[in-house]
Amino acid sequence: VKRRVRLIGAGLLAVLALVLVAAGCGSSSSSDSGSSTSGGSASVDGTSVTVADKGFTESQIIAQLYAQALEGVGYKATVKSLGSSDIADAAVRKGDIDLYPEYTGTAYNVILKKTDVPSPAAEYAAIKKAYAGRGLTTLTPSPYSNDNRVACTQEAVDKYGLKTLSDLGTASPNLVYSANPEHLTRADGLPLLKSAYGVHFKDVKSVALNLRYKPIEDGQAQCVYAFGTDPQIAKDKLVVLKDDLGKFQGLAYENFPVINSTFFQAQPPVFQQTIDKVDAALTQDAVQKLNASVDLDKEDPSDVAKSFLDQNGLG
Amino acid sequence: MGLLGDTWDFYSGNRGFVDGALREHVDLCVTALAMAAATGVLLGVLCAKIGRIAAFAVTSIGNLGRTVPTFAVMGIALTLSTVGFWPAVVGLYALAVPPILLNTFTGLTAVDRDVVDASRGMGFTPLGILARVELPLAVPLIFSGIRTAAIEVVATATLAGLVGAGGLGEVVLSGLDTGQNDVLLAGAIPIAILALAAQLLFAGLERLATPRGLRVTRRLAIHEGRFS
Repeated sequence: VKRRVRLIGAGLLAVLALVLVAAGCGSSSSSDSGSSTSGGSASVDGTSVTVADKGFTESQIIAQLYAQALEGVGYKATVKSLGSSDIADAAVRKGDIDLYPEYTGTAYNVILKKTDVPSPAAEYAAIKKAYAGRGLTTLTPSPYSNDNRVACTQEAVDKYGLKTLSDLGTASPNLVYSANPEHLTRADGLPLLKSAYGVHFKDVKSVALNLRYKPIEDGQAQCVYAFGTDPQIAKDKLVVLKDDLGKFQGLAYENFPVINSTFFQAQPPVFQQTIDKVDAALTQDAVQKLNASVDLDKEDPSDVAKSFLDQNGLG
Repeated sequence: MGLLGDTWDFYSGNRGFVDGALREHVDLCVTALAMAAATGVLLGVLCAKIGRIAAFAVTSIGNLGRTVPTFAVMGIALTLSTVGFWPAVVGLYALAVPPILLNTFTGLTAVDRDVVDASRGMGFTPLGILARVELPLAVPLIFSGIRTAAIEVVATATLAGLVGAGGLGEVVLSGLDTGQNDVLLAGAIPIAILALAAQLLFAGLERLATPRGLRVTRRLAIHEGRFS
């Protein structure tokens, strides 16, 4: 009996060890590609930098772009995956991570909890100022904006003469909408479409964020809550409706890097130059294609990032 | 207090949304549970009658089945069809069958062999023993299996909000994603009430389904029975 107990104990320990090893491997993955070209300044040689993503495709790609571009100039970069904006924000302020890509709209609305809708320039100015007071440095946002849209099938557009969100208000009792649960009660989501544009859909399919296009593709819905860089808009040949009242598109969701100020101040100019170059290359079209490579063609975010940097001379 | 007040305000302002979700939630749970009860009891009876090896296989598969995440089952169902009612029902059905099957099986195999022998001696046919002796004696365990399944199904049906089947998950998840606790509670409170109602309903049904004369015997059988 004793021997059996000992055997079971050993077995449990082995399982525990395996789990720990697996967890250790899973939580952080070093991206070591592209560091062979490190011709950058000697002062950064080997400085380690930890980049985080927020766990979804676009964030993962951009975190990889930052990490690999920094490796290109001599940094030793690690990419971690964190669950949400709140978690990433706490981690970068604490210095657990050095930087992560964030949306201006999310920073303004979720992190800073502001409810008004200023112009994109005023939005970023407010973020930059507020973030400086929180020990964080921000750099110029990218040209693209991943903001709120409504996209409908060509068939529905032709049938109901849909051009704008106000047109959608008139036609909506005949249409089925697909959206993630968050959109249903979020102040700038469906409630805003109802109150400002008179939208009342026949039915709303509530699905997980990454399943939004399935009802459309299966012919169960005609309109979908879309983000500006969703690759399915092009793939499913959907038409993005014009926001004629300018209320729904709302906040700009441009990408910008959130950097721990203590870390940032210790870096030579090449750090900012590298990150700025990456962000400048992120146009609406470019990001939609990057997302398509990962979401539709099932490529690895780090491979997609690498070839993008190579193509744009940033590797 | 403030939060509960906010929750009520949200509910009052969005009655159509929450009430519709509640109806969908009940539809999903009742459908999945009815299908699972039928299959679970039938399979449980078959396995109890087939023999030891089958018993081992079924209990193992049953227990293994409980470790597969319901959302994974729904995901697989999604690849076979489209979003909506049925993928969610399939996921909940897969969740509900194992406890019902296992409890039916255990309930039948735990019946005191002396009672079965006595019935045989009194001239019962094998089918008669099953229908009039073994199953009534197993009723408490079968119903506790269904009750467990019902509560799990009511709570887990929240996931239906992610596969286009609606239900109170739409409300809960929406509140969770946006950090609006009043919205979250407007979905979570009805779910808790539904779970309680299921608990009471099946406790009542269990009492009704246990023949009066057997209540004493049942207690004795369980106290003295061999749980093989």
